[in-house]
Amino acid sequence: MLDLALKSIMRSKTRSFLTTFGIVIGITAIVALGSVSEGLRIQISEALEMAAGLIYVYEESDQPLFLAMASSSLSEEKIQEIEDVGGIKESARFVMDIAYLDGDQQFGQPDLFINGVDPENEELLVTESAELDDGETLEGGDAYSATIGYSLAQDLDIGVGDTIELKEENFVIVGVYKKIGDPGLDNGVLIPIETALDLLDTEEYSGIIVYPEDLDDVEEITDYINENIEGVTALSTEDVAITISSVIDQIQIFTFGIAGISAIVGGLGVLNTMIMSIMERKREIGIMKAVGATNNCILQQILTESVIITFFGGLAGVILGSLGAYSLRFISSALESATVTPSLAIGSLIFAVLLGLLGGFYPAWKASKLDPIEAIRYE
Amino acid sequence: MSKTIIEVKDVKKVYNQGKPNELVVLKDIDMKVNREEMIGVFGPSGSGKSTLLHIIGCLDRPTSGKVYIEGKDVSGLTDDELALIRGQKIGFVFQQFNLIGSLTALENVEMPMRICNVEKRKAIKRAKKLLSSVGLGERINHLPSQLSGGEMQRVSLARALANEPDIILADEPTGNLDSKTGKEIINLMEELNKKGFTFVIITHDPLIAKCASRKLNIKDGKIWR
Repeated sequence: MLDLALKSIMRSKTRSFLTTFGIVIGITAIVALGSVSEGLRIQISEALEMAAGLIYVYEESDQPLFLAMASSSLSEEKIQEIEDVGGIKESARFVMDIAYLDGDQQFGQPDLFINGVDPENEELLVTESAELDDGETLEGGDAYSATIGYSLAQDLDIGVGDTIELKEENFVIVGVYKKIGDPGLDNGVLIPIETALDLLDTEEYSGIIVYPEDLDDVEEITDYINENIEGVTALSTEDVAITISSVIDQIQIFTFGIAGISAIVGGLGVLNTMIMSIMERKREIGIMKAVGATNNCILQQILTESVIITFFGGLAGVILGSLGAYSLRFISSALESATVTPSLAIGSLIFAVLLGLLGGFYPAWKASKLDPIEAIRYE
Repeated sequence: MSKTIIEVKDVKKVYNQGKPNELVVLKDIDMKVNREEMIGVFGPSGSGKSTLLHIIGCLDRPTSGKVYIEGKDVSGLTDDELALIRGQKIGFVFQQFNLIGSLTALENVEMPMRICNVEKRKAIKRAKKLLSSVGLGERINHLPSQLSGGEMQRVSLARALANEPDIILADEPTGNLDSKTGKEIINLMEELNKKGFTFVIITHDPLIAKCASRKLNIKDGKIWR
């Protein structure tokens, strides 16, 4: 009966188009907004995978994870206390600060991150799996050498041999990394830690990254630090993953909530259209029943129509939403990772079909219960 | 196969039973329809003849009494069970034609078959055959609005035949036609009756009275012989 359903839809083209359009808008919003949080999730899980086994230690704070990490400061004694914990293979203390390229602080994302790290342990901060695109690590350079992330290199169009000015000091770039996935590194400059302490005029460290001798001891060492060293918080990569994913979950609930509302409004449009449609077709439905259509048959017929509308609306929404997600890349580098995952696309389509079923059910049920004699007499 | 297709026993139809506006439409109707009959049902308007046709055609249920179709009691069946009987055993022809305006002649004839899950290819083939048997082979892709009254009634006859029903119920089939086209429709029904289709026809048309094999007169909800 698909052809009959299509025929009914095509009978009032404008109305069907507008109803479909309502669904298109809702699903487009879901896909486009969803792609942002999906992209964020992928990007972060990739970055964390690269950093597996690491333990981050920073100053204890009531603030949420990222703020706490950004504002953390640990004294030399604390750092040494942590370094002395048993079972640690390597560790890298670091300082971190944000900087703005034109000197003025602006609202929004900082332009770059300054990371001070021991040249010998640079790989702990950037993770073992990070690769240099060009040049070498800090180990080969002097106090005023720097390595930079790929985004920064691209944005400023600079490379090995060029200089970059940080807080009125010039640094020579000795290495450029390939994409790492952590915005703090991809948009970051790495410089030797002693220089960084001078540059930022501080004697305190932002934190320390610890790498255990045995990967199975990660939890144990994390717990040990948390319990025995006062004033610090230790987080394993896994803990970070859990915290981040709960943040992303919240973002996702919010974005899907907003987009979902517009889709539900679209669903109400379907309900409205189908009610009007069965009112107009009362007589026709009566005729179909007279020649043998069961209640179920009518129910299916009307539901098929509403699902066709929302399915194609959903399909168009997924396509437009994907285009939208793609064009987000050009708006801000923070949205660069926006990704329409298969589960987002399929989930949105299923949601659209569900809207069709929900929006179509009441009119379909009403139509199926029509008394054929009365319906045939209806003009 | 039994000779009787339809048997109606003590059928009563009352609207708004027990309320002040109670209306008794049919009282104690007893009748039988035999195979290959062509019964003309006559009576003034409001006599209850359309209600009787609806009850025989499983579109409506009696308030009391029994209706047997091919020996099977249908008075207690559900909506869907009645719908299946309508689809397979009964064909309807209405005074107002009741074709679906957005469907072509072919699609209108195809529809009852599609509802009964006949494969599309087969349904189209049979619909074409039926339309040419009622003399509309050339106009199968016309919409009802592009057809004359007589042509529309031919389409609805073809539609009534779609699922090879046991009986065709017609409610004033010539009521909306001029006498010439009415005569053509009557001839067509006579032809079909000779081929073995059973007809129950509600009518005022004296021409149908002439060719009916049996006549029933209904007045005030009762059959008068």
